[in-house]
Amino acid sequence: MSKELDEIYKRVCDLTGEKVSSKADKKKSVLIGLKKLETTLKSNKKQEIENSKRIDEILKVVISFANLKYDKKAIITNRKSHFDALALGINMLGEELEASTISLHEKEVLLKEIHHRVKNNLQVISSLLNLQSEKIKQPDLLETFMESQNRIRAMALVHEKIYQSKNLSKIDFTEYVHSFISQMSSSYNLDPKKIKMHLDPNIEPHFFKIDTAIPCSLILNELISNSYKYAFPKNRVGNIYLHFGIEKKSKNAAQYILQVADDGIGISPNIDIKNTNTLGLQLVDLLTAQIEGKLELDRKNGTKFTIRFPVEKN
Amino acid sequence: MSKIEIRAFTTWLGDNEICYTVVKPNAVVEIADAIENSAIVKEISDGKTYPMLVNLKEIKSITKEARDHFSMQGRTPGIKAIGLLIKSPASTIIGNFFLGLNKSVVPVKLFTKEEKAVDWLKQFLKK
Repeated sequence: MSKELDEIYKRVCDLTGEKVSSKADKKKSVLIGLKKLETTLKSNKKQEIENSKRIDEILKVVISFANLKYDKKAIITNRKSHFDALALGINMLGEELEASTISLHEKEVLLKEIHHRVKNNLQVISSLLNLQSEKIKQPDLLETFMESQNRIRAMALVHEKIYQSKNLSKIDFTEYVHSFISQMSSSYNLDPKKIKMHLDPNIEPHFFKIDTAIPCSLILNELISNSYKYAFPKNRVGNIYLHFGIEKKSKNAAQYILQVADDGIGISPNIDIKNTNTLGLQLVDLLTAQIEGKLELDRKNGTKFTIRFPVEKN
Repeated sequence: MSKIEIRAFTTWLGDNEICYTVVKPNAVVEIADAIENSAIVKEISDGKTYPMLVNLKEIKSITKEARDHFSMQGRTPGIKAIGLLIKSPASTIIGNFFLGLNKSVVPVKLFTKEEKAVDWLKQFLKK
């Protein structure tokens, strides 16, 4: 028994930090020591519960920030504990996050507004050209004005799509093409019974940045306009085919393909698309180079322009 | 020079040409305090620029508006560098915000010892 009491006494002294003494009343010392340990244990448990509550409270604030809600703040006491510092840090980070989130939202609103205004301004230019063209009698000059208007409207449509899109840096070019065809048909007053437009309704969405969308829109404008204007003279009936999508270039690479084809009378064999005086084809050639693309012309069974260009890097 | 006391700060120009400002214990520094402190520093500096030692050891917290104000040092032409004295976890957090998210346009450094802060700030006396 004495041996066991000795052992217990030494272990209690160890835990309480008391000095072991051979003269001590060991039973009494053990009892006192155990009481001290009991108090400490109770206090620790209380502290643990309090710490848990504080952690929970801070976590709730973090969760609320994660949901972009900044009205909650972690409580900071005067105890200057690590929890208070953590609470302070979380609150301050939340304030900075809120400021930058608002700032980001404001920037998005501003960017949308800019695209909307650009679209409107381009439409104003187009309307001014329209007004001006009313005074023109010469058919050649009228046609020039109309070509310019169509080019401007093609670009305005890109800005309109950006304004409408959730992603302010890209547009769904597939959706653009659909809208563009309606716009073109209306512009040329086309009778769908005479010239039919064929576009695959199942083309997937493809998202382009504005640097690619604008040149592609102008290319499309030139090629479709050319088909409308020249492929079907003397009320000839025909079809225009539009294909757009991604094709495999090699095992690990893909590229975009944009094709405008018609079954009309065909483009003159005298026209060299690389050395032409025609503004429209010059534009197509320049813009294809701008998007790092390759332009090909197939004269069999009408006219087929094919442009292949690289997929955008993010 | 005599010390100027306001709600959250005590500020004075030391004989060593270093401007001192001490945050009062448990102070929650708000924009009004920040503006008042800037006005005092401007008055003390009287057209000259001084390095500044800011004792944050007893600070409780600081509002975003106050932090933004202090980080835009253009409004306090009297300061050319800032040494921040920290000790408590809270002052450490706040001090680090002034190094990062609320960075000042003048050089800022954190210290736990006043002597080292003063040594660092003295290099700016010659400039």
